[in-house]
Amino acid sequence: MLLFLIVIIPVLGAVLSVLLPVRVRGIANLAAHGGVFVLAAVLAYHFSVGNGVLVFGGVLRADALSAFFVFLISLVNLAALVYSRPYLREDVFAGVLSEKQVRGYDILFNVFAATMLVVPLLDSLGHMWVAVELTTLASAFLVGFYNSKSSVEAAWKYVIICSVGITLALLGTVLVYHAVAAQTGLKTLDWSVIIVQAPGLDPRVIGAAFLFILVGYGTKAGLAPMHTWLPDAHSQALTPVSALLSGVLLKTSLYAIIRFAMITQKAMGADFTSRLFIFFGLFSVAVAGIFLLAQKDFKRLLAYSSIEHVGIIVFALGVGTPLAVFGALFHALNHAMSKSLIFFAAGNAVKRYKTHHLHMIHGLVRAMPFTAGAALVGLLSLVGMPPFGIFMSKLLILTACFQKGLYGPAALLLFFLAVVFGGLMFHLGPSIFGKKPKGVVSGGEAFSMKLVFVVLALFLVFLGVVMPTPLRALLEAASRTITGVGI
Amino acid sequence: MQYSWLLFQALVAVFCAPLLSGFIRKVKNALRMRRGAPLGQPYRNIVKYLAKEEIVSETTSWIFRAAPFVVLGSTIAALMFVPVFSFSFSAAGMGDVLTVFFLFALGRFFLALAGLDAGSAFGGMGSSREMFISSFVEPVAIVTVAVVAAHGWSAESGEMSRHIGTSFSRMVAAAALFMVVLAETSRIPVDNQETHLELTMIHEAMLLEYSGRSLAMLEAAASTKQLIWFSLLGGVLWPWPFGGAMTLTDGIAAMALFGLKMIVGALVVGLTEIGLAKMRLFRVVDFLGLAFLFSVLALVILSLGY
Amino acid sequence: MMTLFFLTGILVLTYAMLVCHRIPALIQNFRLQSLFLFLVTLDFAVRHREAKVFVVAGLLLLVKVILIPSFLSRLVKKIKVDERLGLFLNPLLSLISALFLTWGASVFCSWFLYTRQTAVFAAFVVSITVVLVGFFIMVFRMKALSQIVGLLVMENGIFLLASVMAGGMPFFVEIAIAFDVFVCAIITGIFMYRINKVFTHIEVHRLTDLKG
Repeated sequence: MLLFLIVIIPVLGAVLSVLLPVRVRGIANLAAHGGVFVLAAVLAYHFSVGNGVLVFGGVLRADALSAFFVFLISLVNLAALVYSRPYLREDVFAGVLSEKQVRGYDILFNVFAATMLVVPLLDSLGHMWVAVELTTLASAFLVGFYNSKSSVEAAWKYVIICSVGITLALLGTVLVYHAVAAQTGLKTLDWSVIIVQAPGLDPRVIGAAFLFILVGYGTKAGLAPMHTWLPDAHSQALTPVSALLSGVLLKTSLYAIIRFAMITQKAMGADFTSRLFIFFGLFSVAVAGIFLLAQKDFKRLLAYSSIEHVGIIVFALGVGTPLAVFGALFHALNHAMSKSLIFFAAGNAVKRYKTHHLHMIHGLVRAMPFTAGAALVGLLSLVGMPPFGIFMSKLLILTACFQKGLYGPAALLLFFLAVVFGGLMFHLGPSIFGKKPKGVVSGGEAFSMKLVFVVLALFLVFLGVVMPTPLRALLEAASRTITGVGI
Repeated sequence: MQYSWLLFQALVAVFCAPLLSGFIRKVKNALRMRRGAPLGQPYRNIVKYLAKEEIVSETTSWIFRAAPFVVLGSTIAALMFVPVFSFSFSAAGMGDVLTVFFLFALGRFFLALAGLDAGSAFGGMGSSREMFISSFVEPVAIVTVAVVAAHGWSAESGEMSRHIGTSFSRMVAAAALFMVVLAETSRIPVDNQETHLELTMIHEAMLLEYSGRSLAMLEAAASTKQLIWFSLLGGVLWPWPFGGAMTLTDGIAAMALFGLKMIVGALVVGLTEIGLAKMRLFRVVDFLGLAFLFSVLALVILSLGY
Repeated sequence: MMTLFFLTGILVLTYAMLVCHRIPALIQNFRLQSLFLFLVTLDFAVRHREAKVFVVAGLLLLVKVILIPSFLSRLVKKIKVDERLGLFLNPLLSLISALFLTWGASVFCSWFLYTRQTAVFAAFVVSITVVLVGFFIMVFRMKALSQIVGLLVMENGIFLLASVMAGGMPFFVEIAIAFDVFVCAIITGIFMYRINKVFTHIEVHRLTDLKG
């Protein structure tokens, strides 16, 4: 029932957004997503105290891993929702958007949230595929929301490239289905059934399938070299949506990859997936680092940083020890929060300076102190400075890497991380602290935005300093689900 | 006994060939919601041409007069090597399916010369186009036959019939052969049988100077050739499983099946012709390139053992 | 025999897509290909007498043979765009590349497929070829519409694989996928409409505002 509620509430939110007038709608949406967040937290708690798998109606199924992702998604969703209200209001006052468009945004936001929340909760790999594709379709209009040349172009590339990727993932899914049917005669795509049968499956078919899966869902997850849609979509989408795309959409695809990787590891040993993960992870970090150095657009810069972080997570999954997987999941959480924070800040800055260009956004600290603070916290967190959470998760990942004896990859990762560090600092330092151009007004930040900034920043610091026991237990449980062994 | 069957088969085939043309025309007209000419119209045409006076241009040489005999003769000779009703009765030992293509090429050669001979612009144009297209068609036909022949390592139709059975390569080869058939029987999208007015016509352009008895012979040869192609295609797609001695009932069954194949073939060809538009000459290259590709693909699949 | 026949039909139509020069031809070709796909599914349903597969086949007919092609052709008429597809690679070269794609597909299939059953092997080769050719169409044709059709063709290939191998995937998955494909076609169609409105053309290679 809990699982069903988590999925159905955003759907109801979408329906209500169609029906209700503006003011009530805001409260209703807030209540809905707040409710989802609470439910997700309850679900997460359920697993952190060590309870077993939940199922609903033969379709929905949740274990610790799903619970973690649901928690992640609902958290960023709530933050984005709170942030988006004043953000859109400003656009309406400025006459960029009409009331009707705002209503459309509310509907699409809810649909998008629903599709993302349902991905980790589905048992059938086929349904999961459909849900992932629906996330693309639901968010396409949010990417192309302003209907300008560049946003339509970005939305087109987004839909087409992601759909192609997803189609390849479907091919992989069909191959897994074929392998299962050929081996056991079972006509099913239910993950819980397949994982039991996995050790007997034909390793060649599963291997081929996993390649398709990795390339397919990897496109959606933003792994290089299939990442080309990502900077366009992230830079053109509405800022709250950019945060969602970067913070959680990429991770829902990662979730799908993880599920398939678990089957593959059972069928053909850990080496195959591990090598692929490490290669794609390092490659993504490298590509992101190189493109970061030459970037001129604020939001694109952040998009490349997302590619980098997805690369780190995938790398950690490739290392594959329980500690590394723990680090990967923790990193996903940290990255989602820091990236939302800095995207929100970027959105404010872009709106105030009326440009995406980094060399024109200078002196943020004088124009918008709160935003600048958020950007600074986000920046320091993203590059992995202590005392923020990402520092901890990177440290965990590297420790695991050294423990396993992967010195070469670890060294490469460190090198590329240094490049990214340099790139981000070089670009964003002047933006935050430089000289404010004339003609840019100071002050005027909405209260709810400030609230989001402060809460997220505090949360980040908190995670960097102490690790709350329930979270730790949840992450351990999820890591055990993936690797099969405790830390 | 065998040779009397062979002769009987040839006679029936030559006699029935115009009926096939009439039927395809009927199918096309039915699809266009028209009544169309009666089924027997091709026969009426031939009878009409036979009754008419033949006029031959003064500037032509003996080739112009010899061409109809060569074309009809070579086509009927080709008929002897083709499994029309049955695979097991062909002029065994004298040649194989490749002989059929050789005989067609002979007929084509004379017809092309005859088209040039009268010296009119249309004839020459038709001839050059015919040779252009045949240079694409013949490789495809040969590769296709090679694919089918490889099942029994023989291009002799009797031997081929002993190694029948559906295989993927055979199906793909049939797809290639189907396109060849469209080109060789001067059908849309390569050529158009129904008109004498278009500048794009090919086969009809070569016949433009003919009249009377010669025209009748060429028409008969064209429809016989069409029947041969159809039965080749039918043989590749849906081989007749009788071998060895043939009783009378078997013979009748074989003829009935043959009729069925021709009807299905006519329906498919009619539908295709209605569904497509005539291509420009240089687009025909694409079309036949597609056919060539399929023949090569069939060969590849064959080499994989399917 | 019937399956092989339909598979060959699909293969022929897939290759024929590469020879298309005009948008309506491409759409009609896609419609025919989907029709053959429907026939394959129907054939399976009749042979195995499975009610669910009948439903899936019916859905296929409705969505891929009737609704999507009609929607696309209506859209093309509405935006009054130049009918030519714009070929980066001429048909003959495309065909030769497609031949290599098929060869690659068959090598790939014989690498991991142990079966010697002709129909299964053919189904694998044809469907992977269809997927690859769909991708090829997306890359080497200029118009946005060809990308939509290419995507749908890729999906057809996967659907073919699923339906020939085991009569399709689990019932509800199949339905969900059909729905998803439909929504995808509609949404990409809407975006194509918007592209035409904003850029006054639908040529994808000229969408170069965003770089780096």
